[in-house]
Amino acid sequence: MGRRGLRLISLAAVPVLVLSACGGSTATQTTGATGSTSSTSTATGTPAASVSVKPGNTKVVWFIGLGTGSQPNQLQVETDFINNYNDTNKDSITIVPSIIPNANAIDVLKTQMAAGKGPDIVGPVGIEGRAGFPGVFLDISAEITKQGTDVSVYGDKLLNSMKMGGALIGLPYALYSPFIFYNKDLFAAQALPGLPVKVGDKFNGEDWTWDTLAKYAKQLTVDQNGKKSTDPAFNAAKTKQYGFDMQWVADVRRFATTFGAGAYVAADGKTAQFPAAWGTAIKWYHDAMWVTKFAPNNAERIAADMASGTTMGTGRVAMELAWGWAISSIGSVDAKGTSTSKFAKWDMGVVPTNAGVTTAPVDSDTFSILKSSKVPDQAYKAMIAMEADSSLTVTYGAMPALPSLQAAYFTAQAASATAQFPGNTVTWSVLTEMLKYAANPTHQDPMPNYTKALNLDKSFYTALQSSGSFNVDAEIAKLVTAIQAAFNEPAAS
Amino acid sequence: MAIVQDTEVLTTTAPKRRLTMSHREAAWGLLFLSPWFIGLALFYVIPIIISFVMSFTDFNPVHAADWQFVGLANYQWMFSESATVSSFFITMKLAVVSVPLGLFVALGLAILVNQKLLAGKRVFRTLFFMPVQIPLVASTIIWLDFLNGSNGWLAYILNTCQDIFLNFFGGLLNVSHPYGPIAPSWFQDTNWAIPGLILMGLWGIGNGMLIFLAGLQTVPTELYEAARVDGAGRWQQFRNVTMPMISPVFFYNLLIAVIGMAQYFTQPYVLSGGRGDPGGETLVYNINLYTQAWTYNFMGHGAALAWLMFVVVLGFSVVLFRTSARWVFYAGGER
Repeated sequence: MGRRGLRLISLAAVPVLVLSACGGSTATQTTGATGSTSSTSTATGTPAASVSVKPGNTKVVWFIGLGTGSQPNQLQVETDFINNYNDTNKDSITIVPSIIPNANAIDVLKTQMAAGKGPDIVGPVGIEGRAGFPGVFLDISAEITKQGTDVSVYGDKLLNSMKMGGALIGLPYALYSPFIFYNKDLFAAQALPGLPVKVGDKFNGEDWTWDTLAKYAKQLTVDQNGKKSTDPAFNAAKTKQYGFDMQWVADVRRFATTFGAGAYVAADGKTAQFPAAWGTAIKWYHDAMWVTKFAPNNAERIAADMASGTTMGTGRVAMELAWGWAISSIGSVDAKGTSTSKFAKWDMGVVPTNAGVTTAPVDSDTFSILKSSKVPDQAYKAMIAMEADSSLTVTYGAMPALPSLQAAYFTAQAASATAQFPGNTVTWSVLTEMLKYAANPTHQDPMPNYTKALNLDKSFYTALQSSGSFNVDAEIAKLVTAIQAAFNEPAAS
Repeated sequence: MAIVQDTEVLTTTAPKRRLTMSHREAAWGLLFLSPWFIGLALFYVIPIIISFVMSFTDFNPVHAADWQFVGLANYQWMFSESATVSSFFITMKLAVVSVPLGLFVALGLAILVNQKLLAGKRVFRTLFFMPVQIPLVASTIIWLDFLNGSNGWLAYILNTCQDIFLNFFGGLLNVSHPYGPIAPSWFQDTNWAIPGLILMGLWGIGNGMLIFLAGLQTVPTELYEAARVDGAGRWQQFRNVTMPMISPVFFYNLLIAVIGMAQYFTQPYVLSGGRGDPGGETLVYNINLYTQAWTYNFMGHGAALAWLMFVVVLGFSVVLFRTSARWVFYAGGER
């Protein structure tokens, strides 16, 4: 082969190199009257279903990952649902999934929207996930009327919780109630009874309040020498088990709302405030970490021996304020289905009262349709089918908002919990009990300059957990000033 | 006559153009370079132009069609925003300490590894370079555990040493654990967050060490012999022979370190989730830029911040190049 031949071969390599360097990586959005095939990919290469759009069908792109849905154990369930729906629906709709890992989902969705290639449906996603995309979701009131959907099953309270800027951007889909997780082994070691399972019940003969919880949490906090935190010889640096913690809680509103519903923004919609009940909550928590030390501070919680913050399953925490989305982290099974959980028994109790009032910050996920969707009618129909599918609900670990689907949810949860904790019984009715006390306003309600104000909230919460010299009153005042400044700025997002 | 006429006809028509050999070679060379040029245009030049234009707009990716030109509003905002100033000073604080520290520790390690009598040089070279190959995110998470103020390895070592010291000398000195655990909380303490970042940065000096090592090994040994003959001690040899001879390498490492600080992002982002916690002490310039552009969707603000950083780094680079004539010695006598 001469020089000319070599040059020609090298020349042919040029377009190959260019194309491989410039190759697309996000979901393609090919459409056409004839059938088209689109494939999805994820930022980390998780294999996703390749779906063919049948000729004459309407393609509806479903973006998964903004909330839950991109975990490996969820992908097969979603794929099965999509394949079944595409094969059996009579509306000539083909759902095409776009599954993105949660860590990248916000950026990918923004990029797609900026390029004019946004999906049709996003979900499941909670309020905070939607808050980063103000004004982009379709008000489905018109679709509800057009399609004749019966929304009376949800009730006004739940429906109103689905409004964003006055627009109804989804139907209540999944609910995650708060509860107090407790380790029955640790309770039994202290000869303590189980926590109340109904609001109004007493604990050990006392009203179940946050102060009562603190009292028993101190008793349940023990060091490596067996000394309780109430003992003068207790060594906080060598705590073996803590009385209380809050796994995966990262902001003030989520915790403080259990002391009373409220909002950072006053009724006028522009003045920053810090509700008195939240001040009580912050002082309670500060004392718990830095004075009586029955709760781990930030450094202690994220340590390796506390599972880097996933503390419920460690067996080292007696009680936790938790939500339904954390239940999967409590226990575990190996590949053969044998329990590998670190303790034998657990249960749930209701959230304590503050000043005689029980308040439950309930998380709610939904599916939303983007305003930019060119096929809102078909997207709505597909969305309704997603929300009605019980296998999806179970895989998302969420309690269905629709009462007709709740029985299957509890059955599945009970089966999972039994596998992880053989012989243990969990009082699942606590989750429905707490729904009766859903906070209003919610702990994730809109406020001006939402993202920035929320960042300030989270930084405050981190500082509270990180520093023993945290001056609660002074820092609350600084926070209110900073949030007011954020409210006064043009809305970030 | 006819021949003369034919010749005249021949001489009056335009000669056929033919590429010379060098032209052909140049054309082939450009063709082979074209993938790089295309990549440069697609992934650098065009995005740079777009970001410059974007810095004069209020582009929001979530409402991409609604953008407008806002003139210099983003630049005016930038200079009035407290986070711009504070993040800039935090980055400068980090740079002022970590750049010289990184350079001199890397140089020191290179000098140690370059010693004739050191056994296992390759092992040491490998060990010092290995941290560079570990992904930044993974190493940051490992450091988080190592520096955990409650029961991280460093805390365990410090607290154990304290216990041993006090148990042994406590009776003699009549003191008993007066201060509690001495290990700082590093990334949970506003006073220790930046020292923690600097400590993490030192772990990645393997690259600089290798470059210094290469420079040290190019210093002609006869210069050291001549210096010894003239009575120079070790420090004088280092100052008058080694440093001038490796000054180009030093200059290169310094430039790279300054540019690296201007791009500093990953570790503080992983530590604080992008919020600059604790207390804003890890809110470096690029985290502020990222937050403005991608968290708050103010792409125009982010673009303006990026161009400001470009101007600052360009200024630093120009100063470094201009002043290099005074302290960088090129053995050939020319730059």
